[in-house]
Amino acid sequence: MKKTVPLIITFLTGLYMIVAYFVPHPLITDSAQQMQGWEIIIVAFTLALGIGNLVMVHGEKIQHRHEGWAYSIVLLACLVGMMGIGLFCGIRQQDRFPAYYWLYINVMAPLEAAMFSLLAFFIASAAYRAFRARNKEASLLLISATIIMIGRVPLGSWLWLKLPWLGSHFPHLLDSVTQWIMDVPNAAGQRGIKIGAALGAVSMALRMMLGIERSYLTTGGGQ
Amino acid sequence: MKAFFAKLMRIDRRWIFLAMGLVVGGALLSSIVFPTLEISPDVRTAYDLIDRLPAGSAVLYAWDYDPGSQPELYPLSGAMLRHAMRKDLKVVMMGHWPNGIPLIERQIDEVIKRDFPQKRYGVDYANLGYKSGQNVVVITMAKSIKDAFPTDYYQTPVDSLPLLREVRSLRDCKAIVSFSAGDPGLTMWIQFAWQRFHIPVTGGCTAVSAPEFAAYLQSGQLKGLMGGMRGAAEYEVLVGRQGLASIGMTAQSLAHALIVLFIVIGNVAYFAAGRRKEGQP
Amino acid sequence: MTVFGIWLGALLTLCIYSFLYRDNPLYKLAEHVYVGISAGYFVAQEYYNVIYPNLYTPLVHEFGRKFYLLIPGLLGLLVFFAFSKKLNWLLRYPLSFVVGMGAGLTITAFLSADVMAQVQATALPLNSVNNVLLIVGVLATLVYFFFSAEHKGALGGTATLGVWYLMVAFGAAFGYTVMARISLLIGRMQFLLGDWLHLLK
Repeated sequence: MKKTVPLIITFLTGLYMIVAYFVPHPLITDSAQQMQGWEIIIVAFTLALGIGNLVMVHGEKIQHRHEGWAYSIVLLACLVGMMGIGLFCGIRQQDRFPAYYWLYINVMAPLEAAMFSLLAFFIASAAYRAFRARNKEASLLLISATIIMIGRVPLGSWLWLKLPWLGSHFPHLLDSVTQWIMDVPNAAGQRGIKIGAALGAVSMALRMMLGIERSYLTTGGGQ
Repeated sequence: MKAFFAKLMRIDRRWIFLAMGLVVGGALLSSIVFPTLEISPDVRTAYDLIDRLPAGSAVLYAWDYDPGSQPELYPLSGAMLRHAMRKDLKVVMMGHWPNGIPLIERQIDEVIKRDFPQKRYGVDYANLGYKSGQNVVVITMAKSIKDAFPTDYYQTPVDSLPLLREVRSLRDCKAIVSFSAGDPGLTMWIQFAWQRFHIPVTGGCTAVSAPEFAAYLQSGQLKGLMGGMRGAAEYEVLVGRQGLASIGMTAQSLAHALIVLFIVIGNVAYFAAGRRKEGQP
Repeated sequence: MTVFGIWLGALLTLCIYSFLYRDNPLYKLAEHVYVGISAGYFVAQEYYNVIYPNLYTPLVHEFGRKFYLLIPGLLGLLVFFAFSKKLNWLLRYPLSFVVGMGAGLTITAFLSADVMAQVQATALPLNSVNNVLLIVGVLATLVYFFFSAEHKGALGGTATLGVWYLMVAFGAAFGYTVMARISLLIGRMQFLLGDWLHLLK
């Protein structure tokens, strides 16, 4: 009951989706469409699990006064505030009190953009400290990366044109080489990775359907 | 000399951060401009796909990104929206990333309401908003948009919008354009919309994921691609309107040069300092 | 954006950037504000974009025709039993539905788009150097990922060639990653120098 029924549900729903792909009969496709509509609704609820977990973790931090508990109060206050504003005042720009939209544009979006932009600094540091041509393979990687980095910006084309003889006789060589790297060796490598990853994903999906892989059934303390 | 290189290898990383900040800030403030961008074949293919559509054709634009990828994809989505409006295409908008949905409203204000005030909501364009479910949403929309989106983003029943009475499913769209920061995004549209229903898919992606789409471009599953800020800048050139992506290319160029310099200095210091260690008894 | 809004965005950006000097309370505060606001934002989006139009409205206004939506509604509510120590096994029912559907769709999509179509696209005529290089590259990369046999002899040589193709691909990926990260910084700098300080033309 607790494990068998979920495994049966997993198998049957997966099988039905595969059958619906191959059998275009309206009875099959219409019922599959219904199930897909249900999935849209259920996924919206499952995404709330993460929020619940966040509240539990920070609630416990506040309760037991762990280090940084004051920040947890700020976090929960912002969560409740934004949620309340969104649910009661609406989420759209033209709602009567567009506080949700205002907070998104002036607080959430700048914070998210700033957090991701930190990566530019860290990649500069990594390039200086870690990117070493230790062996042939690493050297090849480095050469390919350098050609792409210089070739894909206007500076590269500008510098290339300034080169004596090469710039005048082969003005588009750098662009062509950059494009060739993307279209041939990169495409070949990426295709090999893609095929391998796809076969891995298919085998994992089959394992889940057949009940061999059951990690998603682990419960306790949220998912 | 070798001691100098050894010291160089141990430099505080905050100096590196400062150098990066100064180069990017300085480049933006300067008036340095590099020559016009060469348009790459993949961007040309994507542009031509939209440009060759007859007036009145329906296209689906998917904002599959969030503010974290805004610098790369927001200028592109603006340029492509402008292109569609200029070509009198009917644009159905939606997104798979909940964090990016208000950006659709913002872009409607900045592009359509400002520069194409004659375009009418519900007739020339419509905003469906967000729906959870990812690939399930695509499959559902391919049969019936109303089944996935009973209402638009403004809670208006889709049946009451003239555009969505005409465009009842994805199959009524002549192209799907995804501005994709990851998964769900372009890959999902290719796997489901193109592979299953043969609706042409094109779009833009962050530069991080651009190399992986080379395989799809070569196989013809993806009809053109704008990768990163460079791709967005190229598209801006094609629509004839300089935007944030074009303006950012100088800073991009100089920052890349700085990174290459760091790699060179780092390797020189590493090998120079390494020889000292090997020579020691 | 209002002037106050721009100043707020700029100050929050600088709080995040203070981390580059060292970890500090301003950064921690900004980080927690971001996580809290994002989580609250998310709930409202899910409600207005999914729960309200796809579940609540049809059940309330069209119950006669759409009564079966009670099933996904109830399955969705079972999710909240994840926080109960005794009844958290009920979470398995909605999860198994979602996982099963995902698995079924994955099998067909990946096999079709990422295996068969890619293999088909590799079957190119051997009438150009690039075609030959592409075919050889794909095969060599796939041989590299085949770990059931030891990489020696001809197999080892092919796998080594595959590694070389992969190194070029990863180099391209690194170059593009650098481009992506720097673009994000350019975006923030455009905001700080342009929208906030009005220093950009």
